[in-house]
Amino acid sequence: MRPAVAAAQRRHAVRRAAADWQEAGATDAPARAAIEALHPDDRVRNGVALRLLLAAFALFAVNSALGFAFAVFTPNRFGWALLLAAGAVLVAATEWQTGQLRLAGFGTEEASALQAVGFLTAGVTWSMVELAEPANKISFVVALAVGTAACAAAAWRWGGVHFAVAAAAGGFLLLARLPLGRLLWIAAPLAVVPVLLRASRSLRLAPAHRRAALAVLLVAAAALYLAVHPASTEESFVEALGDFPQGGEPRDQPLPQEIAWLLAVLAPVAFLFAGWSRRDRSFLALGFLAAAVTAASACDALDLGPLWALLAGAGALLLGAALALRRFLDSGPDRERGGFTAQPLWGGAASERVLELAAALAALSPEPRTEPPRGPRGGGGDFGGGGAGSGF
Amino acid sequence: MDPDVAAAIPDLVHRGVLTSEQAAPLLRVARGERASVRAELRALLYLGVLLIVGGVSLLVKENLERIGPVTIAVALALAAAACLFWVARRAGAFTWEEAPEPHLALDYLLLLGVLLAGADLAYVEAKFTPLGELWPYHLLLVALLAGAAAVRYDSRLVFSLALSTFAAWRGVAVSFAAGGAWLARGTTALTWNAIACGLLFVGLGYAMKHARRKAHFEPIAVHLGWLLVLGGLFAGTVGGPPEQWRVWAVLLLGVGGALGYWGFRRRRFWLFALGVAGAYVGHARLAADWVGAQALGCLWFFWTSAAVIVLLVWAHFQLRRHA
Repeated sequence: MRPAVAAAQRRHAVRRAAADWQEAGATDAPARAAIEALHPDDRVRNGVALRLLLAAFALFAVNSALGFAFAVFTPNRFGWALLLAAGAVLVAATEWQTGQLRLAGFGTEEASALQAVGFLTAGVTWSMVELAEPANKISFVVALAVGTAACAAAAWRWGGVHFAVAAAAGGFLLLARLPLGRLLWIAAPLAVVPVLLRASRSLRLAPAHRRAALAVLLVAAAALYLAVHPASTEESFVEALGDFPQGGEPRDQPLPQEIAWLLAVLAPVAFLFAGWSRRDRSFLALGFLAAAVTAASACDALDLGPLWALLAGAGALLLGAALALRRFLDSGPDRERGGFTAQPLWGGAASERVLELAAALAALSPEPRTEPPRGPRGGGGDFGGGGAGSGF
Repeated sequence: MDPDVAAAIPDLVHRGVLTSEQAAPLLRVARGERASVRAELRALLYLGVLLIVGGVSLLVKENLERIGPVTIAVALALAAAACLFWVARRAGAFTWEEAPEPHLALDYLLLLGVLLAGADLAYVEAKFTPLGELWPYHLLLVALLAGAAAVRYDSRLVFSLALSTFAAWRGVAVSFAAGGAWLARGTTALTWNAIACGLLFVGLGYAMKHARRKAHFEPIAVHLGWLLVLGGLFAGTVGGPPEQWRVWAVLLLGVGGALGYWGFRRRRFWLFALGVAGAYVGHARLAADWVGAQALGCLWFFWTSAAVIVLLVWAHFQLRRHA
């Protein structure tokens, strides 16, 4: 990453914090103005709406141009060369936008970076398929390796959590192809955790690289959990990933079920402990998610109770747990325990509210009735209100 | 935590921008010594509500014969009443302004109460048919009850549910999953219903804002309203009668363009984005018919999307100039 970009990211972090502080009433407008004067932003940025719109139109424009090129040149066997050339042009375009034009979070530079990685990976994959007919396992591995390397390079050069996540996922897919792949899925996260934990909070790294380190850490933790989960060991999930796309022979169970269950219980506890001790909300969320998956798997394996009782019981448990935790945190000195509080701090409230509303509309909106009300109908309706159905 | 912010705060104190008293709590958060789990608690509460509603729905479905309809109806009513009673006890005094949140769980218990009451009403209507031929009106009743509860207890969450239930009464899906099926089935009547619902929501938002009655609900009503208007127009272009789609496409282009212009003038960026996207989709539907999907089509879409990018960049600099 260019030093100028990293420096701009640091200044932007301080400016954003100053805006949050003022919004929460912790500081006033003159203080914010003074902070912004001390940390000037030399980048050209957009808000979320314009950024998304520009990114969408940039993606559409690039794909239309490529479609035109394919339609005119009909490259047949050498289409991969066209993709590689387009990828190279887009790399240059991204460099120009992030360098000379000083765009950051503008939309177009993010779209061109994404397309550059996609075209280069697709070009290499296509070339491997053309050069190694019929497509074999090796060409797939090379394509995966190129995609992983391209994502890692993009995360390093341009930043972007999505590139880091894709690179980490690609890395684990490659590990799955090695002998003792499952063992590597367990050993690799344990080996990289200390380094990534430090990196995710290191002042020496640019903010985008810290976020990337945290993203890789979470992917590694998720891979570790997946490797030890009883259903994954029973179904040889990691081994099946390693055999893709050809498929392999049925395997013996790679891990005794008793040990898998023990690890599936211990892993969420470890994630939650890491989240609590580091006051890291990402690890708390991962720990909660892993605990929920383990609990659901245990209920399924033990064939516990009817599903309705499990759902309602789990829901009541969650409500009770949330209320109890809030009460526990609020009862501490300064409404805080162990560095955690249930009180709002600064920043993020508005975006959380929008997400919550979007989730409510997506999950709880009632089914529409199928025809307008006209004429009598016996037997009552089939539709619930307020998100619930009468069909049950 | 944020190491850059943590590193900047002592310098800000040194320069006199922040006092030591101001800086201390800010520094604790920036160093990761204090963190809020409020969002996580809200997520747990929301998930809890979803699971309970799912469990109750299954309970009724699987044990309908064993438990009996009266028991089910009474049990649902009691559960809803318990939730609403809890909310009523903890809620603050009514105000037309934005009210401070008296309890973290209030929104979610209100949501659960409204969902259970809605389910109970739907169940009673399905089993005992008290509304007879007016059966579809139970959705309207639920929408009005949810709307009243949202206004009384100042809940944006329940207000959005009231609007989506009202739309469902008119046969219009708000959620994306149901929206797909609705689009596939689209008829002219449903398209008009979507547009009418959308305009009603936009008008409601406008009235709330200008009458200063729960003015902070306005963005929900207006955004959902325009989404329905443009969605309805789009449904007309893809699911309407073949002889009419061009009219719908032209309308989508015109309404989207007008909304984009209005959003730009009022600095309502999401409405601006929605309008621009709607206008381009309307144009694309018309253009796809004229230029086809081959080389000329690709070239056309390249140049038009590039033109939109130029327009958006111009809009960006105009907004910066007037910021």
